[in-house]
Amino acid sequence: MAEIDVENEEKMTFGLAAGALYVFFGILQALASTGLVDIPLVPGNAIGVLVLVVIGAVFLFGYRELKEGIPEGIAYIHVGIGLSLVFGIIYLLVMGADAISAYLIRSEDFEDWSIIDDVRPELYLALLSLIGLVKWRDEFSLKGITISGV
Amino acid sequence: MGAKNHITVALAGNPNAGKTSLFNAITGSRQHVGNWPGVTVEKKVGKYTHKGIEIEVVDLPGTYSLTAYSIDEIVARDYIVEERPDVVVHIVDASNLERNLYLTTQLMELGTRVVIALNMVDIAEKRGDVIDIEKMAGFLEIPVVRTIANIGYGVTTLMDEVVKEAQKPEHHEHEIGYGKEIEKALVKLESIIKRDTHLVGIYPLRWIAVKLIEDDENIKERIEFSPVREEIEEFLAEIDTIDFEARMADKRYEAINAVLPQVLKKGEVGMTTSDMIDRVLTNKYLGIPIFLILMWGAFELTFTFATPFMDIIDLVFGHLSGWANENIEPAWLGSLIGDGIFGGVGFVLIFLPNIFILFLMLSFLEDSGYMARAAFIMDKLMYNLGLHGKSFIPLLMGFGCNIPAIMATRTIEDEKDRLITILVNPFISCGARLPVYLLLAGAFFGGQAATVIFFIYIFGIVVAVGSAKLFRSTILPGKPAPFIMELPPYRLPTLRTTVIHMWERGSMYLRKAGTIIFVFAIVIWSLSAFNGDGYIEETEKDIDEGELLVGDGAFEGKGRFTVLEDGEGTFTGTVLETVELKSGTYEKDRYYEGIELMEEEELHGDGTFEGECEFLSDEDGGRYIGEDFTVEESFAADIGHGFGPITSPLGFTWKMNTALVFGFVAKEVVVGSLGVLYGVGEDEDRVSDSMEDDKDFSPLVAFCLMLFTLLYLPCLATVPVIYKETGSVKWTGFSVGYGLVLAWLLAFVVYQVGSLMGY
Amino acid sequence: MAPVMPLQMAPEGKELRVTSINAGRGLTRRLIEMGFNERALVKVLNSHGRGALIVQLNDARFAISRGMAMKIMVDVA
Repeated sequence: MAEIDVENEEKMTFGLAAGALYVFFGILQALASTGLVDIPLVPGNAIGVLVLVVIGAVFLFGYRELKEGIPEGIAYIHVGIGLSLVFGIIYLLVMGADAISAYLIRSEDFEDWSIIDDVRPELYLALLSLIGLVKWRDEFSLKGITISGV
Repeated sequence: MGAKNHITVALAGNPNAGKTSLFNAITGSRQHVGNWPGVTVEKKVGKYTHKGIEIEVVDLPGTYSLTAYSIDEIVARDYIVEERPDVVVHIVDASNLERNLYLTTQLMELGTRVVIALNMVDIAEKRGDVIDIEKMAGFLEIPVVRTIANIGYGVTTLMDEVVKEAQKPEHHEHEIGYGKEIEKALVKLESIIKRDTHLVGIYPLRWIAVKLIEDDENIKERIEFSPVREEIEEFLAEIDTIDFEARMADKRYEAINAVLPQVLKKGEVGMTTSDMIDRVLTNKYLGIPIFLILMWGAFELTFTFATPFMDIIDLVFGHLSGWANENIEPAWLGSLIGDGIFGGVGFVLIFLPNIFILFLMLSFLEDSGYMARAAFIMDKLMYNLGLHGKSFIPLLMGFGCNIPAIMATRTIEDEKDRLITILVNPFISCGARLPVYLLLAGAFFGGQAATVIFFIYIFGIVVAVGSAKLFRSTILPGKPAPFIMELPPYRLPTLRTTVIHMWERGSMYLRKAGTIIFVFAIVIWSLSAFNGDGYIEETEKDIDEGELLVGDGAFEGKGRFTVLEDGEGTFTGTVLETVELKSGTYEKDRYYEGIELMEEEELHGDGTFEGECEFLSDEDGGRYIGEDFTVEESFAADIGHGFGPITSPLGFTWKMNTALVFGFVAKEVVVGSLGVLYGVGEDEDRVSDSMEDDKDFSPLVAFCLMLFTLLYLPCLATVPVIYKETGSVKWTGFSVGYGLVLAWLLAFVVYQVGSLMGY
Repeated sequence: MAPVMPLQMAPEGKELRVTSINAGRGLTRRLIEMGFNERALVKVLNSHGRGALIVQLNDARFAISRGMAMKIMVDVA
C-alpha cells in the first residue's frame, strides 16, 4: 500500500503542475486572442483557449480528489494525459499538413509559412504528458483492468 | 449422410459482445457488405475455407433477444428461423454471462445447432472470474469455445467445433420448463397450430406457441391468413398472456441462475477502468466541455489536416481538365471530357479527404465507446429541444454529410423520434455547403465573411431545432421516447477495425454520391453546352449597355476591358478615357494600335480587343465574337429563366436559379455552376469578381442565396436515403417540400425586409 | 422492508434490487431481455442534474433516460 501512496503522491504533483501549466497557457492564449498582445509561440485562437483550460481543469480535478484522499482521482490524471496527447498528435498532424502545403504544393496561402507558425501550447505541453505516459506506461492499457491503486 | 463440404454459419449475439471483431477475425478481408432484402440493415457475408470445407459466414445484427423489437432483431431472427443456417455461433460476452445467456435460452428454444464463442475471456479472467467451460458446455448441451476475437485467439478451435456440429445429423431441442400451467397452455396451442400444415414447415411448433403467448407482432402477422387463426385467438383470449409472459421470462432467468453459480466463480467486482474513465468523461462539470473540445479536435483534423490532400486532388484534376480541353478534338468532346467529366468527378473527389478523415474520426470515437457517452452527455439538452439523446450523433454527423447521418438514425428505436431526426437533418450545414458560403460571403462580405458563415451555420441549427419543436407540437405530437442504451466498455480500437469501419462508410459515399454526381456532371455540362440547335461552339452576340461578358474573343464597340491573365490581350482602337497603364499613358479620344495590356489592367476604349478579357459595354452597339460564352443561349439558361417568376421576389436572377437547380445534385455544385454561368470556370477569385460586377448581385441577394442554399432541398444523394430510411414516399416528399417552402419564405422575408431597409 | 422507489430517485452508489417495471408490455419485455428482470441487482453510477443516469447491471453499463428510469422500481438490497 505504501508504494501505491507514493505513486499517487507523484500523480498528485503531476496533476497540479500540468493543470497549472495548461490553465496558465490558456490565459496567455486568451490574451493573445484579443489581438492586443503578441506572445511568442502562443498564437491567438479562441477555441484553443477552451481546449487548454478544459485539459487544465481535468488535471486540477484529479489533483483535488487525490488531495482529498480519493484514489479514483488518478483517473483524471490519466484521462488528462490522454487528452493532452490527443491534441498533441492532432497539431503535429496539422503541422505536417501545413508543411506539405508550403513546401510540396507551394500553395499561395502558405508563401510566408514557417514551422514556427504552427508551434502552439497544445503541442509543447503534450511533451509533459509524454513523460507521464512513459513513466506510468504499464497502467495505460484499456485491454485489461489495470488502473492500480484501487 | 456424407460429410458436408459447404456449410453456412450465422454469427449472433448481443450488441458489443465482439461480433464484428470475430467476423473480421474469421473472414479476414474476404467480406461482402450488402443490404438485407427490403431493409437498409447492413448484411455482411464472408467466405472462409476451413480444412477443405467451404464456410459461408453471415454476420447478423446485434440483438438482445429474438423478439421482434427492432428491424435489426427481425432480420436476425428471420435469418435464423427461415434460412436455417447449418450452425449459429452465439458470441457470448464472458464478462456479462447472465444477460447474454438469455439469448442462448431463446436460441435453444428455436432448436438450432448452436456453438458458443465465449468471447473476451481475457477481460473476465484478468478481473479474477473463473469460468468452467466444460461444465458450461455440459449443462447447456452446447459446445463452448473460449475466444478473444480482437486478437484472433480461439478462432481455429471455434471453427473445428462448428464443422463438427454441422456434421451432426440432428439437433436436440433443448427446452426450458415453464411450469405446469403454462406448459398446459403451450401443449394446447401446439395442438391447434399443428393443423396449419404450412406453419409447421417453417417454425418449430413450441416456439410458435411461446411467441404467441408473448404477443409477438411478427408471428401474429404470420398467422393472419392461417385457417386456425380464430381458434388461436380465442384460446389466447382465455389466458392471461401478460402474466404468462412475465413468468416465462422469470423461468428463463431461473434456468440461467441455476446453471450460472456452478459454472462461474465471480472475481472481485470493483470499479473497472471503464468506470474510472467514465467518472471523468461523464463528469457533471467536465463532461460537456471535454466533449466539445474533442469535437473541435475532430473537425480540426477533418478540415485543416485535409487541406493539402484536397489541393493535390484539385491540381491533378485541373491539369487533366485543361489538357482535355486543349488536346481533344472535336471541341465538344474535349469540353465534355475536360469540363464535364474531369471537372465534375474532380469536384466530388476533392471532398474525399474530408469525408474519409471525418469517418475515421467518427469510427474511432464509436469503436472506442465514446459515442455512446456523447449521447448520454447531450441527452438533457436534446430532450429540452424535443429531440432524443440518441438524435445527437446523427445531427453531429450531419455537419460532415447528411447521408451517413440519416443512416445513423437507425439506432433510435422510437419511430417518431427517428422520423424527426431524419427530417431536421438536412438543415444541418453539411461540408458540401461550405464552399458555397465561402464563395458568396468572401465576395460580398469581405472581412465579415467568417461571421456571416458562422451565422449561417447557427441559423441552420436554429431551423433544425425549431422544426423539431414544430413537428413535436403538430404533425408528430408527443415527447421524446424514454431510452435505454448500453454503454460498451471503453477500448482502444485497433487501427485495422477502425480503418475497415471507415472504409465501409466512406466507400459508400464514393459509390453513391460518385455515380450520381458523375452522371449529373455530364447532364449539367450538356445543358449548358447545348441549345435547340446543337452544340454551341462560338458566340456572336450583341451586348447591351452595362452588360458584362467574360471570354476569350474579340469585342467591337464602346466598352471597358479588363485583362484576366498576364499579357494576353492587345487592344486596337480609340481610347475613351485617359488612363495611366504600366506601358504608358493613353490619351482620351486618340487611336492606338496594339497596346499590350497586363493582368488586371483596365481600359475604356472603342475598338477591338483580343485575348482573355472581361468586357463591359458602356453604350449600345457592342458586339462580342468568341468562345467561353455559351451558357446564356443554352438549355441551362432556359431552366433559369423558367424559375424567374418564383424567385424574383427573393431577388434571384436566372443565373442563380440555374445554379440552384443544379445544386440539387450536390450543394457544392452551386459554386461550379455559378462559375460556368459567369463563364469563368471554377477559379474562385474570378467568379467573385464577376459577381461583384453584376448589378443584380448585392450583399443582400448573396445572403438570401446562402440562406436558400442552406435550406432549400436535401441533395440528390440524400433524397433516396431519406426514402429508404423512412420507407415512405409521403415523408420523403414532405422533407423536400418543407425545405423548399421554408427556404422560400425565409429568403422572401429577409429580402423584402432588407430591401425596405435599404440594403 | 426497504421502501420501493423509482430508479430515478435512487441514491448513487447503493446496491439496489429491481422490484417491478411499470411500463407497457413491449418495453417491459425489452428491459427484461436486457437483464432488468425482477430481483436483478443494479447500482446507479452517475445521476446528476436532470439528464440521463448511468446504471450498472452486473458487468454492463446502461445510459437510461429519466423517463425510463421512472418506470423501473427498485428497493435498496
